[in-house]
Order: sequence, then structure tokens, then C-alpha cells
Amino acid sequence: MNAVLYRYVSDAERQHIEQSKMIRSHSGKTYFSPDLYDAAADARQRLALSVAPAWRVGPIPADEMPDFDAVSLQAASPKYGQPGGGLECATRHIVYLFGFSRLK
Amino acid sequence: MAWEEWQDPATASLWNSVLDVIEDAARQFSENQKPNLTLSVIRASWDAPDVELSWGPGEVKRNIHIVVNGRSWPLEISIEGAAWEDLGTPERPQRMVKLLAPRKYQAPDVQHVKTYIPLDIQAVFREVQSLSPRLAAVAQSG
Repeated sequence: MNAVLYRYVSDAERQHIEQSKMIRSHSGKTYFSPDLYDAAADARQRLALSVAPAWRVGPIPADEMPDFDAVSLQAASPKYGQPGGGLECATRHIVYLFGFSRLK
Repeated sequence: MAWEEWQDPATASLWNSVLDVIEDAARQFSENQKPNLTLSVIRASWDAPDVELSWGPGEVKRNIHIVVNGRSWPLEISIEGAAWEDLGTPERPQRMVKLLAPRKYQAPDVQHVKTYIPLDIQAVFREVQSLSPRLAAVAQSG
């Protein structure tokens, strides 16, 4: 696997990640990709996302990630009219991020 | 992606109950295809409320993708399919793909989903089996 991973998210999820300093999907599986996309359209097409993401989270070093126990690294299959082909993997665990928290 | 909707407990509960029904139907269909085909069922891609049924064998891979839309009944059920083949190299991957246009309908209740999803899966399975990803290279935009 590549050394770093990214998650492509909506604006609402980005705000939640910034506040909570963790990444967790309530769908039960949180997907990541080692692929770096600068354009939302590219991320949507290659990862076969239902809508174009607004933000890229990462890079997160792979050795700081939990096991990808939900989906091992694979090429994304076609979905939502998108061809897929980008690499994806998923974990059922929460990913905790480094961050600063102002003390009370 | 439906990350925001998953945050609402009522929506998440509704989606999970419907996805349970769809996943059960997909797994039952998968069992019925053995031993000729081995199908895999996966629930939830990124944050979408969906179930995917995929199978090979060989270089051409195929899938059926069932998506739930909406926050209350009637829910929209969308079913699509695809056949694809990965060519090229890991450094320069190339994908040939043929997508089946999605079918959509409004499901008034869970009983409707239980009744029709197995039939939908059978029908779309036959269509997807006939898709040729190589042809899609010519008509990729379609």
C-alpha cells in the first residue's frame, strides 16, 4: 500500500472532522484512498462517488491508520454512472487525527 | 455522498432497515448462483446508502448496484449495473466499462422492497451478463 491515505468529503463532514478531530462514517465503513486527486470531478469519477466531494482530508500516514477490516485495498467498481478504477479501502474503526485543542 | 443524512438517527435507522432487506435479497441471490458463480455483496460505498453485488469470473467483472434515496417513505430505489475490464499497467491503468442505465422507482413501504428487489436483481443480473465492456470503449460516453 502507498504510504499515505486521503479521504474525500463534503463541506459538512470537513467541519465535523475539524471539530471532533476524528474521521468516522455513520454508514459503518469509512473509506479512504491512496490516490491523490486535486479536482473534485476526478475524485468522483475514479472513486465512483454519488456526488462530487468538496474537500480532501490528508495525507494521513498509512502506519497511523487502523486496519482496513471492512474493505481491503481494491479498485473502485463502477457506481453512480461513474467508471471507478481508483483505489479505495475502508475501515470500521474511528481514525483519530492530530490537532490542537484550546483549554478551558 | 450522504454523510449529512447519516447523522440524523431517524434517517440512518430507516436506511439501515431498508438496506438490511436489500442485502438479504442480494445474499440470497448470491447463494442461488452457486456453484456456477461466486458473487460478493458489499454494503455502503463511501457514505452512500447502497448495496453492491459483484461477480467475475475472469478478466471481465460485473456488478449490480442498488441505492436508497430519500429520508422517508416513499423511498426511491435506484438499480444500476456495469461490466468492466481493467487494462494497462498499475502505473497507467486503463478501464474499459459499459454502464447500464439506472432503473428508478418509488417504493411506498418495506413490503414493496421485499417483494420487488429480488425480481429487480434477477432482471438486472441478466442484462448485466450481456454487457460487453469492450464495446463501451467505442461508446464510452453513452
